[in-house]
Amino acid sequence: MSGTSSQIADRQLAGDLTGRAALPARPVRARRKARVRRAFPLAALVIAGVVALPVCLVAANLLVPRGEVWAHLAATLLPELVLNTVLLLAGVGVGVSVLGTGLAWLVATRRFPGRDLFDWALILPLAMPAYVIGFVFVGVFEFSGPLQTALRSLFGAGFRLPEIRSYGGVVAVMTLVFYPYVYLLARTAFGEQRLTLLEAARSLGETPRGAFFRVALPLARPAIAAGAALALMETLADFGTVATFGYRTFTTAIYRVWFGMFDRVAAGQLAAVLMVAAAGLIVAERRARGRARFTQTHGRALAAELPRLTGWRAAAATGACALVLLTAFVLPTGVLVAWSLEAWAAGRVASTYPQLVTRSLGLSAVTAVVAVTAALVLAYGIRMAPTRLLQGAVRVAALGYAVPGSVVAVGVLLVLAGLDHAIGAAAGRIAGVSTGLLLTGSAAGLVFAYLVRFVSVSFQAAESGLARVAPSMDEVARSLGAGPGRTLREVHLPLVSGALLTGLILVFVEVMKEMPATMLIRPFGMDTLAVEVWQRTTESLWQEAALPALTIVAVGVLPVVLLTRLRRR
Amino acid sequence: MTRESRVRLEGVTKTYPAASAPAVADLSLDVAPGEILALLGPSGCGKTTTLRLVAGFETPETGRIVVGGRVVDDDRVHLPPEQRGIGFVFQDYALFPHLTVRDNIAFGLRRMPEAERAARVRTVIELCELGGMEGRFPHELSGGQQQRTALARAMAPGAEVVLLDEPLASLDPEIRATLRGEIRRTLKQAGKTAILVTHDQDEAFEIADRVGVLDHGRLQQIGTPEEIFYAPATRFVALFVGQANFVPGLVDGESIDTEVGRLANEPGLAPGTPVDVMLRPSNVQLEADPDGPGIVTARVFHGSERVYTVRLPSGLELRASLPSTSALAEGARVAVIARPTHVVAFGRGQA
Repeated sequence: MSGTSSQIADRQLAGDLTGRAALPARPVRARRKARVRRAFPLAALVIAGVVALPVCLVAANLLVPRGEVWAHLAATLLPELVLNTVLLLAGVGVGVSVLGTGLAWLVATRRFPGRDLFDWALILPLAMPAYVIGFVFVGVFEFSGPLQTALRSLFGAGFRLPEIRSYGGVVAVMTLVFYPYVYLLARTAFGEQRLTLLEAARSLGETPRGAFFRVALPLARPAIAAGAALALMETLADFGTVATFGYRTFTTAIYRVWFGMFDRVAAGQLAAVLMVAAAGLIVAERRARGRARFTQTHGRALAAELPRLTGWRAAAATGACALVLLTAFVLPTGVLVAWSLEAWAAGRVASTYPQLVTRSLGLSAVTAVVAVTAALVLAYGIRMAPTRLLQGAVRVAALGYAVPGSVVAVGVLLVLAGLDHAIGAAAGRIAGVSTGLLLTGSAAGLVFAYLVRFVSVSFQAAESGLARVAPSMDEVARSLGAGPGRTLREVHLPLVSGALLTGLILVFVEVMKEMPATMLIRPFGMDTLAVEVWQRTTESLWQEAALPALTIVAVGVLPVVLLTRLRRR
Repeated sequence: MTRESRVRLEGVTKTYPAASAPAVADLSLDVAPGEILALLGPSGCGKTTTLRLVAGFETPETGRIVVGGRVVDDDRVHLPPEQRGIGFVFQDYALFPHLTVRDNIAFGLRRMPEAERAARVRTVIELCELGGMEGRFPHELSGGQQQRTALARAMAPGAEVVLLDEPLASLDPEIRATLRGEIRRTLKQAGKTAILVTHDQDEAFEIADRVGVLDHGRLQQIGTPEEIFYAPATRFVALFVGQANFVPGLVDGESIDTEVGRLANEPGLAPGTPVDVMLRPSNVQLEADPDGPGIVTARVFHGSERVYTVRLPSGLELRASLPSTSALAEGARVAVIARPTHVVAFGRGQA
């Protein structure tokens, strides 16, 4: 490149001017560096392209002429699916907003017994996949469950609780699992609000309640909206819970159409519609966060000396937090432990359990390493060459997290089938062998799907880590005589390693919990803990589902602890 | 004091939890209607706490606070801030970022009929010279405009008392200088009673009618800017409001004998008392004199004035401020003449 050679010339000139001889090794080294400079962004572009491909393929379904399949879907399935999904989103949206905001306000602005514990413990329900708490609730509250049986023996055979497998049941369960998204963001927003803003409202004649509704709440609204959008993305992506509750949504329909009718076109169409909904949520979330920037202001944050609640108010605050924590985490975990022990005592723990654990851990570990490596390449690529093309490609690649697992699965299967077909044709022509479903039938396909879904998690971690390395640090290191290698080892790595570890753990846990994509893509017989939970719950064998579920929850607690430690800092 | 007061503090004490000493200790003061009082002191002296006590954001342990004849704080009463009807201008302005200038100003006028509210907002906007800014959000305003908006918002509900906490601290020096006059004019024009908290003596002197100097939660002195500057009650006040020389002297009946001459015994101290006489640099005059006792050891140019350091035979160094047109060279011999406005002397070893 002419630019590079002229730089070299400049440097030699500079060397001459300062009276130092330009080292002969310089141009060689510079050329090698230039190659690295080009290689990284190129690799990043390839990775982003491959990861973005499945999502793009599903999106392409929107452009495919609709035809008969669509007409049939539109007439039969769609109206119910759309209505169900909208109702679900509305219910969960209101639920998580109210619950998350209320708890966040309480914890951020008041002192009461147990507050410091609730502050972090209220995030714990995030460790619980929705499908786990879902089947625990069904198992406990269903007609033949222990609770209703006990109540009947107390109050007579005619006693009934409302049916748990209902719209209200689904909304309640999802609210309990997904409120922490709102809680986390609103808690931070309230915590960062300047105390003087509330005091200003008071000095202008507002009561504390008025100050909350006229100042604190409007200021936290972007954070609340962003949290709600995240919760709704999870709601949209959920498969296990709605399936257990018999509530039909797009995710269950895709599964049914794919496996029940083997209709790939129809599944693709449904996935495309679902993706449009998810895209809407992404836009909503971005907008909310964008507005939040304007309201970020400096100054004294809510002081350490918060008003202390006393008497019945304190009891009510503690009670409310405890009730949420108990129903959303403590009691379900307790039930899982009890059921696991029952299954153990009855000798009904699956003999494949150790194998399932190994496989889940293995898949999670492999994916985590692959995802973090890919994320590093992406992040460094953008840092070196922040071109529009690369940034756009990475943005599309990072969409996977917002796109439901079922949609990702459909896209990945389309890619793999195409590849298998091509490989098979080539192998047949060249060697005369049949390769069959080489990729579709392997764990590699599964890891690829996880990568598509979760690479944005590791990318965000890598990017935030790299953001700590100011460009001037590179220059300082170089000016002090450290080469690119030493700069990477002694400056970048120590600064970035923490973020990378976070990325590893987050991806690891996400893969452990992932169910819908695994269900659709896994090669026959390749069961994971999540699949095992699904299979046992479809047979209503709650006790047998408990131990695998408990294992997933135990791993899921990891990132919550991590998050808490990060926030403490 | 017998004069009419709008704000009165009587023996107010406030200690924060986990603090060893009270933030405000046994503080009493009066502010007359329409008067502007500045509370001046270093950071941590309790001046902001005093303001927050008056506003009702903090509760005193002991003492009484009376605003406009109404007891707002004593052993039994603690009126919440929203019922005190006191305007507060925060150091960081605390403008509501989600509201426009107009809506910020109208925030405290919720219970007012629509037409009256609009008229009030217009009046205040005019008074504070915010015309044309009504539709802007706080982050779209300059620092000075934010400050004006905060003042306008505090005055809009018709509060008779306005409290200002370091209102100019976060502004550039040039804007600060112009806004000082503006704040005083605005408050006077609206006829408000105001308490201003600041650590900048220029700000206190320019804006306020009277200045109270606080240290360690205690009121050291309260008086007009001139009294505070030329007749400080303590060494702390003397040093906090400007540069000061302390010249040792001995009281000899009607006068005080010092190295720079005899000064009138204005404080009426007992003969034979060893004292330190305070001299502001502007009260020390120098004249070129080859036989003079002083030697110029340093000179610093400050634009319109020049500050000289002069060593006396005893080794005492004095600072003298002269017009910068004066031209005494370093090393020059000078005569030193003390011309104090008031003679202020502190007993040796006394604070």
